[in-house]
Amino acid sequence: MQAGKPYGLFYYTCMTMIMSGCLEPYAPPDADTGVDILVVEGFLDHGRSAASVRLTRAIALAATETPSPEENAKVTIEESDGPTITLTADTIAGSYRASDLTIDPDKQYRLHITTQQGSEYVSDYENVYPTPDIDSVTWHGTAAGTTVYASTHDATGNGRYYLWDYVETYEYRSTYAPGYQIQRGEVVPLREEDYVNRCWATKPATSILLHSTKNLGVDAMLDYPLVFMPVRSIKLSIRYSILVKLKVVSEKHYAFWQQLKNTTENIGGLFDPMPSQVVGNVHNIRDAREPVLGYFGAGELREKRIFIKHDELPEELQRVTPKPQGCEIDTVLLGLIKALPDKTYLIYPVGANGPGTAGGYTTAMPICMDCRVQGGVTKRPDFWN
Amino acid sequence: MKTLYTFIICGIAMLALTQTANGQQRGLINVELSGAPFKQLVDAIESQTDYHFYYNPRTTDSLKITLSAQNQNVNAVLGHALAGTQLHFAVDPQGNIFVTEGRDIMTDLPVDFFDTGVAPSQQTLASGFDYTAYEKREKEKKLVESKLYAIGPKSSNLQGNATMAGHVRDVTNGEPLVGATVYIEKPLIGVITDQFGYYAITLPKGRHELKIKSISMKSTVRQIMLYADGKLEIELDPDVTPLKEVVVESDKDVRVMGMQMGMEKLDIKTMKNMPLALGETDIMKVVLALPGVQSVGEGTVGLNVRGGAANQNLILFNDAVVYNPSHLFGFFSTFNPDVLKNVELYKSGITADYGGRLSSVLDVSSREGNLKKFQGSGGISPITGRLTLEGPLIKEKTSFLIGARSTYSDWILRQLHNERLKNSQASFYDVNLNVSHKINDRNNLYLSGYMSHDKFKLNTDTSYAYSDRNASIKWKHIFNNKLYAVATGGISKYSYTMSSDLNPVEAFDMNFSIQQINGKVDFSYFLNAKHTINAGVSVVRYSLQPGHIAPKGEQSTQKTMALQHEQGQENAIYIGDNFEVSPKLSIYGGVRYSFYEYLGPRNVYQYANGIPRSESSITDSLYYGSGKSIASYGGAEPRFSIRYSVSQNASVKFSYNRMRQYIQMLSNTTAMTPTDIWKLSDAYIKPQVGDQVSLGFYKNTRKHSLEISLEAYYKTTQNALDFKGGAVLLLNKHIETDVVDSRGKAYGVEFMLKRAAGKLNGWLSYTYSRSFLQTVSPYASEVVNKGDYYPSNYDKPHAVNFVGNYKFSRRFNFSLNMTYSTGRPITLPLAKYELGGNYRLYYSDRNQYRIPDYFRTDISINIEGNHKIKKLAHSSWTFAVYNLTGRANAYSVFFRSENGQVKGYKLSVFAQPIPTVTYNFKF
Repeated sequence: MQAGKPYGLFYYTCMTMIMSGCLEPYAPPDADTGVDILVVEGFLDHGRSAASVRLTRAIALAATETPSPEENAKVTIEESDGPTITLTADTIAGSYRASDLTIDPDKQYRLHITTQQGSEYVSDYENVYPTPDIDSVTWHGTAAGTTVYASTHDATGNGRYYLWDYVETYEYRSTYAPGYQIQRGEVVPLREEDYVNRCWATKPATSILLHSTKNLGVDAMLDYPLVFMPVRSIKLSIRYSILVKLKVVSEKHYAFWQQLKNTTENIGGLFDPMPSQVVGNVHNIRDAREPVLGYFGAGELREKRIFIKHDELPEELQRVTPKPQGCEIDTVLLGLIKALPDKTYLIYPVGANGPGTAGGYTTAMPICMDCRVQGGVTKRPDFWN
Repeated sequence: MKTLYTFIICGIAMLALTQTANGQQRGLINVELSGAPFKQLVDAIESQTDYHFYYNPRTTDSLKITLSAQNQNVNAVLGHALAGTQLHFAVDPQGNIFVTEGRDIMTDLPVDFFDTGVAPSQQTLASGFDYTAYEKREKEKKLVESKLYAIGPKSSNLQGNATMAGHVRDVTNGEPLVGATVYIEKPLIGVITDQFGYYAITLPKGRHELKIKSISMKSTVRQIMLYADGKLEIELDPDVTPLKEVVVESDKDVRVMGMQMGMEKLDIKTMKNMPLALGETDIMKVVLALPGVQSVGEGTVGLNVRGGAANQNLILFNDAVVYNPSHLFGFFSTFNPDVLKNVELYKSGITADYGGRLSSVLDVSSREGNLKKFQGSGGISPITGRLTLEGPLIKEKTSFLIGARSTYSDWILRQLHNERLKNSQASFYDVNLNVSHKINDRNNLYLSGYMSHDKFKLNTDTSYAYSDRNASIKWKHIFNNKLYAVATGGISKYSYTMSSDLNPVEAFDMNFSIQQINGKVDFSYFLNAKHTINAGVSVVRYSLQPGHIAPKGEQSTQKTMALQHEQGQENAIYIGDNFEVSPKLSIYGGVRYSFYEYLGPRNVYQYANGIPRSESSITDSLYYGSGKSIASYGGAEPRFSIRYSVSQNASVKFSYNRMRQYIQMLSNTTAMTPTDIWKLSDAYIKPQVGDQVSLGFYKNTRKHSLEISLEAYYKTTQNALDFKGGAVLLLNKHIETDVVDSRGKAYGVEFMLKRAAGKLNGWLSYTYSRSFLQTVSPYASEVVNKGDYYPSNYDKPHAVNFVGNYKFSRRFNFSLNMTYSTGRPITLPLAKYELGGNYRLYYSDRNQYRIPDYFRTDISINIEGNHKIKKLAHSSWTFAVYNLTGRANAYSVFFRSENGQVKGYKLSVFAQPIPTVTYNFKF
């Protein structure tokens, strides 16, 4: 507070309360009991002549395990007045695939599922929508951070409903690079292939990105913002890559995602729309009232990948990513090393009395030494050159 | 001198005409009498002094005086002589002595003796005593109360009834008093003054004592001799001279004796004593403390009256419709407390002269300007500043009142060191202007203008602005004592704009507006003592510009798009009769016939039959020319009430009414928002129809100091609107494809205990109420909750309100306000599932759960300035704490998917005690 504004604090409290209120965690009454509902995520890709379907089950709100896959189902895609495509189970449980398909973009397609228990589901017939190429994926940095943009246009003017998606991959390092590990009570130097200080993390988009050009004069999107990364973000600490995906969808399919966005991302304020059950286009043949979640669509998926290196960033964004909280180095005397749990990483020896001897080792919390704790893997992705 | 009355009148007349010199010797008296007639004493005094006696010999002829007095003054002599008798005496400054039987006589001239009308305050009293204004009025009041007013030309025919009429006004500023009770006790006949302070009462001819009572005014009486139809203007004194009284005194007898049920009336003085958030008296918040009124959340302005939707309330400000009575998302209402007079809320038993909305009528009236002198008032609170000026333009004939209020929140936001808030904007203002003009005794003219404006931008790139404006003109003409008419014309306009420049390529300006022009002529006819008839016609013309979007800036590729304008006309005729069958039984019967047309020019989409309406089922579009009727609806709206008095202090009432609503708000959010759009009934969206029956029991105890009421109601709504999941309401060219027809039912019981007067006053109410909706559609895909009834957003079964004021002294007042209600229903997620790499939520049936219960306590202390009558300005301080216990009441509960985790949050708005200080002044 500055002098001469004695009421500042009061106003601040007052206005903050009005404008931002007070947020507290809330657990709904039935968070632990699940609802057994089939979840369908299916897409027939004309561009790749392939189809993929993933079947899972909904789980309780408070559940920590991943959703259980629906295995051993009979999954087919039916062409209107045409042949039936059979999908086969993939290595990932609950996923079904077919490739080298002949897809007629003038026909309509629907999904047909028969589960192991014998329940039968079909989707509505869907048109195959062509998707224009992604014109560009660009980025721009300001003092606050970096934003990634994408642009596209459809010369035919038929696009109109666009569904964006992306997958981010980034390379990062742990705060400290451990060189040793306790293995069965012994301090063992790490082999190069076992180093855990260099990771690549891959993350899906956290929000639903959709855009309609229905009300625009031209069927084009220029610099549609996809991701914002604040300055010092770990994503840009070494090198970052984003794979941008684009699909043109039907108005109904677009509305489905819009509704999903509304009920998962903009909910709860008194001025936000009331949540509702998002109904997809898949139904139980015998019981129209049974809720089935998800959507089956047909069209083309376009992709474009770019990379951003840390040193390509503007000067003001080339800042060090802060250490995770509590990342201070600790020294453990040799005599106490045995008390540490197995697989504990150690950074480097201290107090050495000549080669092969050490008075102790430095160590830190796992998050500071093992980059996998932060969600990445140590295997370099194939596309990472 | 046959009667006492003629005696007094003649005596006073003589007194007035013959001004005796004042300086004459009034010597002392020596007298010795034993069993002498009164005449002998009179002679003795008149001979020894220059006093003159006036008395009626008949009242003194049985009197025998035994007295011995030496050098005593006249008061002592007479006091001694008349002790123990029924006789009184009075001595005036001119040396006249009046001896009367049974009562005292005023020796000052009744101030209005030579006028037929009201006592003009300028007339000097005969006494040279330096009265303060207050004492002076006290004296005047005493005088007029004892005077006998002859109504109508004198005649000896006192057979039958006659009607007397006039206005009841506040003596200090000439403002009419609304809702004042004018009545006689034997037999009990009473009326209530209307919005102009006008009353007309039909009484048996002859001598009556007319009693007049009004909220926070001193009750008074008038002695009348009713010969024939005539006029009597009445002025009342404020109960406390320069101070605001803590009164929750509603028209005490009205609750039991009046016809109206389901009605609450609040005086601005009551409202000003309630402790409120942010230091502003807010009528909408006070109304929320009444039984049967709820809102979806703290800081929202929409009222849900008896289970009705927020858009089903007719909000009138000086007879002009207000579409959005809220500032700053609803934290403030747009009614400036300084210009308000009172608020009436009708929840049931709505009379035939009101129409157009289903749930309630909230009739807000502003004051008229002071007819006698210029004055001003204002206040400063943490968020707003306000100033009101008023005074006569032509003394006693024309007055004005202008009030303005604005916030300095923009300035505050700029001082903040929080980037988020610094980049936000929030400002509002409102202005009121009233002019009232008395053309003559029979004609009055009232002009009223109102405007509110809001602008905000909350750390986003979209800015919003909205404005509500209206103006009305009202002409009241009195044909005769039995008949008067009021012609009203008004225009109301609500508009908002939204503009975004987040992305220059898509920057836009969007706007919406609704305008209505209305006219109404209303006749009130006092047929006789038993019948009061009210009839009239009303026309409302709506024109809407439902949405227009245009590019902003040169880079923008936004297409210009405008929805077709809408227009409609709602006509109504109505008649109602208040029939007092007997003192115990009264009946009101009325009917309103409303007729509505949706008018061209417009292109209307046609849809295929037998499948749900959607964009793909459009088969054709039909063009209707300008003024062509596209759809029309109409029907009778019966209104009926009955009151039966079980005893003088208890009554039972029953009412039924049907209402029709031709304009609805489209909203799929929980609370009303400034950007909600209104939609006229058209070929696809049918008007809403509501029916309500209501039964009530009312009892006053302990000399009316405690009022108990119990009311039960049941109501149904047809053609309420609901929306398909994910409906987009803004800029939708075919909104009919997104709406689902639904119906509603609501029922409840309201109990209220009220102490209207005394040091401790206030009310305690308990309400049990339920409100349900059901979607009606032949298509399974359109129904909500499988087509079953489900609780509406504002279904809060239990509500308890306590409002109490304790007056420690004239200067010091303490108020406590406590509110409890069941949490509102919400839809909660039941499960999560993975789609597109993230967790999504699967929601329960609509409104199957509730947010935690709501409880809040507020206190406030009012301290008035000193009581000196002559000082620059009267001021008062209000210290209030809102949410004293700091309970974090849930405003909303929501869930978000964050980094693959589903997290639930509870948002509270005022989660801590909020202290405020407000300074008010009046000059």
